[in-house]
Amino acid sequence: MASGYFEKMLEIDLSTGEFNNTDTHMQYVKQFVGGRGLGAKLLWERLKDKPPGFDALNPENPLMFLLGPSNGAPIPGPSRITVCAKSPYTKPLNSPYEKASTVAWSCAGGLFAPELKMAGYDGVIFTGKADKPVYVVIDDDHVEIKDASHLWGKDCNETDKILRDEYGPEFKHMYIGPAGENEVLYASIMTEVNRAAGRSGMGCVMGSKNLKAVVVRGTKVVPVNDFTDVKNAKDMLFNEIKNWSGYEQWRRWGTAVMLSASSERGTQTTKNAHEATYEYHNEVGNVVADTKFWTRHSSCYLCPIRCMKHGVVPSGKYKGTIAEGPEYETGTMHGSNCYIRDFGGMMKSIQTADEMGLDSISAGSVVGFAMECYENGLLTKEDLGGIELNWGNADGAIELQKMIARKEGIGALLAQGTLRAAKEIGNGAEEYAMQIKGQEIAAWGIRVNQGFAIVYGTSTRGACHQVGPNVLIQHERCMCDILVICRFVYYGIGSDPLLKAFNAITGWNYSREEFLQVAERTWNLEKVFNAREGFKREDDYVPNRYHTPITYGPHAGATITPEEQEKHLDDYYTDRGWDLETSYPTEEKLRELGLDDLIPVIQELR
Amino acid sequence: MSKDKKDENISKDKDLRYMFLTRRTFMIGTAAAGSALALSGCGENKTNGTGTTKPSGDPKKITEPSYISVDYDKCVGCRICEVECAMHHNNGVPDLDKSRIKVYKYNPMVDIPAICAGCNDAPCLEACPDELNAMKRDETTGAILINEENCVENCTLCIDACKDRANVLRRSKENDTAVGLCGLCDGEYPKCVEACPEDCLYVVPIYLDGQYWAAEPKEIAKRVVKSMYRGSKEAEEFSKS
Repeated sequence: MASGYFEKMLEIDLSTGEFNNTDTHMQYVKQFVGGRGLGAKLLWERLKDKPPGFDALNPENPLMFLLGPSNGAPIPGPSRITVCAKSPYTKPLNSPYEKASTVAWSCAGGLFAPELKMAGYDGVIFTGKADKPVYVVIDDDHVEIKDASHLWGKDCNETDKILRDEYGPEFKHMYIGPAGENEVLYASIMTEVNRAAGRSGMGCVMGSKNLKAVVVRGTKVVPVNDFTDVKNAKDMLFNEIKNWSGYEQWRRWGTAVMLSASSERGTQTTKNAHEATYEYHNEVGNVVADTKFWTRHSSCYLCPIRCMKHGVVPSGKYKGTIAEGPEYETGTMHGSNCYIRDFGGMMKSIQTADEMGLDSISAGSVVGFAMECYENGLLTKEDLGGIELNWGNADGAIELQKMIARKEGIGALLAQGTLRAAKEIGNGAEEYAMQIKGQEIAAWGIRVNQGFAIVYGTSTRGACHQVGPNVLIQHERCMCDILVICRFVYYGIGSDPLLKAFNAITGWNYSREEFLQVAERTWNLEKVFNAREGFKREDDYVPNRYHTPITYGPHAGATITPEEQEKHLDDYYTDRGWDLETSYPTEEKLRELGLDDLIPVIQELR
Repeated sequence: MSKDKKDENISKDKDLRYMFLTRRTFMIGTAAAGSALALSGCGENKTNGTGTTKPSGDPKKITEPSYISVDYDKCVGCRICEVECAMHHNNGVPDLDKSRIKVYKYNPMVDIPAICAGCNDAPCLEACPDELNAMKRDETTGAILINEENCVENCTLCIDACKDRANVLRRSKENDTAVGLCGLCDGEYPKCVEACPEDCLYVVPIYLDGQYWAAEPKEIAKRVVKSMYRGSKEAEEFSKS
């Protein structure tokens, strides 16, 4: 058996209820390793013979829960799972295909990934569509598709409670909330109530298959090349993490530490990206959370950083609400972005997104968008079902998210995300839609830290804050999604120790170049996939709003000019070895990466 | 070793007080026991502010009946203890099926490490047929040990006896014998305690006055949830369930 792999993937056809084990992925693992890389390759192999613009909500779109060689190994942070499919959410500016969209990859932490790996699988692929709501139970080799009528319609917290009662603490679960069931385009897949594979609409694809939840228990040992080597790598990695200068800070505050810091630096998305410093950041920031809200830290599998914080709202209208966060992203998108000053209201808003199963980033952006529409008269109180959606209306934000998840009233429109909703609203609403390729921009501003123009613009799954501002960092971070390991471990110790652990597990002895080339291959394959759908250079630009200067804070006046944007993209494509005009990978680059089969695809596009 | 019989008259509610130690009772408990081991184990050597958890100085030995106490407020559910335990007792192979500490998650979110508490009345030991000679209590550490060679397959007597206690005893998937009893690493400094990055595990002398015994993880979770999420209706409902 290959080290780091069970050489077995579970494929479940929900239409027929049949399932079987395959090992077809093993022919790709040397090139694509796992997680996001394997996801891109498997998606390409399944959809390359279909015409471009294949509908992501077609039952044949494979929903893949993919693992990497690190999952289940005793090294820090092997807790992530990458969910891949064709995205139902992204959309190019101009494409001959109506249902054109990008690849989708979305990662979540928690305990689910190692459990699934220990059940003996390198991943699970769902195809087809069940004729009624079902959930799938995987207990090692025993697989069962069960009726989910008692779970359907329940929010994520209720679903979690029911599954925990039914199966006990040894089983781990991932599920969708009402948003996924109703095919809200930016629905997430959740685990442990608050952890999400949030971005790029994976919950929507899961809902379209009538799949409510996946429940798993695994009791096997992940095979590795040499347990002594892995133990040494483990000791080295844990040691390095503990010696990381940011270790105590991340442990104490999690990403919330950035809330005030980012605001003071002029990089916090505020008021639907009008501004980048929030004057009330102290009222909803990490210090308030620490003194009034947090009661405990929470960790993913084998992670000493335990960045997650739970708490209970101590006072006010939402007293008694148990919630998680604020994290930097959720606290910004549901806080400053909506101009919310009420801490309890903000936490309830974050918790509502989690319970409804909405991507918290997109949900916060959509609420901010709707608030701006309301303030400027593009949406009225009647449109919004009686909600006076002024800036800072936390109650309104909470109600609106529930309407979105259930597609009630205005929710049906906003469930399509800002790009599509703005087109329908018209009257210049397009300028309020803070999105790239159809997916909403996250909580980091662009004007002061222009690297984010590349981060958001070039991400292969639509605006995403995680991919990195230059080619090297993009490759290193991509390796995290491939292995599949948490980025915070990589932030703490860099990619070299991860490479050592990878080699100890697999025994492949990849050099640093070979290792990073896996990521480059993945990026290029994803790029070609997107290009075939009609995405090109014009889809890599930031929204116009970022060309107007911010007016407030220590960096008032900062902006990114169209010329600067052009230059950043030119530099980036040059570094990538991509064509400047179209942004497509060059033939030499594809040949260098062993992706010769993609050359005709690019030739045809030219 | 004290052989006091459990007082049959102690009410259910009173029992709960001893099921797990709060921070306060932990401090009182260790002070009353006056154990140098427990105090040095958690106070001086374990925490030095930088998060390192290696005990310094001579390796500590457990020299009196002890168990591993958990500060449930601090556990974050990383399961590092679980993996370290599994690797230590299985030649470096992280077979979690063999781990003697299990961390269970409950909703509202709390993480409860379940570990043998060396109950004074030891229902597992009582249940194990004498003629098998498969279980005994270590005279020095007070830990209950399984003799794997003598343990018979498909016998669940000890497992059933532990069901309403720590509930960590279970059948191994390998050969259906009983696994899960903490042997306190044979009196060496326990691996889980050493590895815990949160300092939430302590070696504490055991109350062998019959007043302390292990509780079911879920019962502990109810208590922890109630104090962790004070003022929450959801937490209240869970703790009453």
